Amino acid sequence: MAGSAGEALLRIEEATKSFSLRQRGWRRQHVVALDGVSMTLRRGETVGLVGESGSGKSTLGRCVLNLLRLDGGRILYRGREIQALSEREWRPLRRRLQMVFQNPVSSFNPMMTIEEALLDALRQVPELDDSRRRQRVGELLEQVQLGARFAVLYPYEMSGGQLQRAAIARALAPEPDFIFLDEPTANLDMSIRGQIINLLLDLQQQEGGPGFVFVTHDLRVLRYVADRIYVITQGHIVESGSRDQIFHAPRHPWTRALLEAASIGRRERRRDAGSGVDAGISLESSARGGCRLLARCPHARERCAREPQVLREIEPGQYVRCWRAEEID
Amino acid sequence: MSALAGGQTIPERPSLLQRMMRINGALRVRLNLGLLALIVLLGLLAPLLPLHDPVRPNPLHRFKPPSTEHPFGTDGNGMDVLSRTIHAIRTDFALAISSVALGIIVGAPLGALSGYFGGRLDSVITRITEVFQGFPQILFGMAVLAAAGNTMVNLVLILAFYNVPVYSKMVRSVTLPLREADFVQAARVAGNSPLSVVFRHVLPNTLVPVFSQLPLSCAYAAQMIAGLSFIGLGVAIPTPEWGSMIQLGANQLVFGKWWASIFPGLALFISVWLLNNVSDLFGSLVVRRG
Repeated sequence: MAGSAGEALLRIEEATKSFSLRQRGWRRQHVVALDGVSMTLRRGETVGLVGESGSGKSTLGRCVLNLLRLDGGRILYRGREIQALSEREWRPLRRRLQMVFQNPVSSFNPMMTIEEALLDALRQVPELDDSRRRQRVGELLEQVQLGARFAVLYPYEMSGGQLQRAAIARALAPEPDFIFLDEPTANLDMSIRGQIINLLLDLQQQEGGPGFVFVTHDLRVLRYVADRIYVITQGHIVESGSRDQIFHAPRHPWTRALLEAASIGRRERRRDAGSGVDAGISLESSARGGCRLLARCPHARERCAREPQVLREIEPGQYVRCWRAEEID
Repeated sequence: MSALAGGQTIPERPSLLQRMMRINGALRVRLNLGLLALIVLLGLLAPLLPLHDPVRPNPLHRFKPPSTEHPFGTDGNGMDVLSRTIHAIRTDFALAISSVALGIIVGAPLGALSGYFGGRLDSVITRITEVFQGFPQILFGMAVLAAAGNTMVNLVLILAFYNVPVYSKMVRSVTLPLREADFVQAARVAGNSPLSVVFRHVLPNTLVPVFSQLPLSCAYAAQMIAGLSFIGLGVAIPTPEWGSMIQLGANQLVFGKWWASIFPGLALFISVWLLNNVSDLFGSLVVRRG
């Protein structure tokens, strides 16, 4: 990937995480949420992470924020391992790494006003005194285009879009280096989505602003906000590259399928005219040892069942987990 | 019922009777709360009301039937039953409320800690509260009051002791699902320490069921106080208290001198009944809001 490793703000190496479901019969069932995911985020950059629901996107965020523990792999923040830290050791990092949750309504304490919620987040900024903190609440609300009048409202008195802005204000409060946006637009109306996206674009313009990981299942959203994009399915990154590479020269069948799914209805393109994988449903990991998308891929060859696929660089900065990437067109 | 073209039916308007029932729902809340408030007010204002001294005996006026001078009659010590019944509100409610409050103050944080942190802390707290609940209540109360002295402080402590497990279990059960709630995760991300998450974010959100349980506990505590006082423990005789008043008049009931027991008994019955109603209504209100 372009740029030296030293510039990386956040670096995820070979992250794995699985959840064990309730015991069924004799054996415990495991669901693999992350399987060897690696990712890099540079300072001030916005990285898009796209995948269907259940593909491990949110799990990754929760692991980065130390809300969950990885089973294996490393997470480096400014070159320092932050994965195995205890809650106490982690506390100083909370300021630096923030998160916006998918559901704005449930991510606010129903017993606290917006001002109280923001002050709660500002408590970890020791250099501010009380009056300065109150002033900062006003500034933050201004920054996310909510008036100061929202400060006194309780979450149930606000709409989803307003709450999502408040959630972004809360994430910005301690002036973090990094904000993980976990499907910030998924629960919002189309018109409100646009406002949130515009707000993000404003935030990206700011000098010294935070880097973002923007998680979504809707590839279209990333066209406007992402510098680079990772495509994930079944806990695997299948393709990564710059925004232009992903949108204009996608190489992996899955990415193509996602792009096609996103454009159906808009351009009236017929689904069976496409060349991609059926993007609708996530599948059982069928092929042990082979490509995980084997059962759904129209380009599958006998070799796909034998060899596990690895990420390889086929253009500068573009990585694809498919040996046939160059042949398919 | 009128059918539309598409086969759908317009729901009928509620009948007058149904609407009255619905209004009655709100009315019942107000009525019960109002009566309860009236009782509490009566107790608070008791010293200002034109009543006989509740603790002044008069050997010449023992077991006088209700009259204009003594509307509820007098008891075996010649004390005015009306005055004592009203003054007893102060004793019984104060003891009930303080013991329940103490139970909540100790029990709720224990429950939140045990539910949020789980693991060994949870096991320890749960076992201890289970041991608390294992004691037969009246028997234990009798034993402690007999051994440690028959004081009001001890009475409050015993009743609080019963309430601690009630509230710690309740708060624990509400805390368990909250542990994974988005806003709790968000509170962690916002830099709250684990204790601060528990006390600033989790605990306040467990209080709705606590408040709907509170009147019920008060009713139960009032019964316990009266019950212990009835058997001569708890509140001692000159202090006006319903249970001891009932006891004092009880052996005269068979001689037709009903007033010394019936009036405090009615007062206790009405108070407990109102508290139970209020608790039920709180519960249904909470359920309706979801």
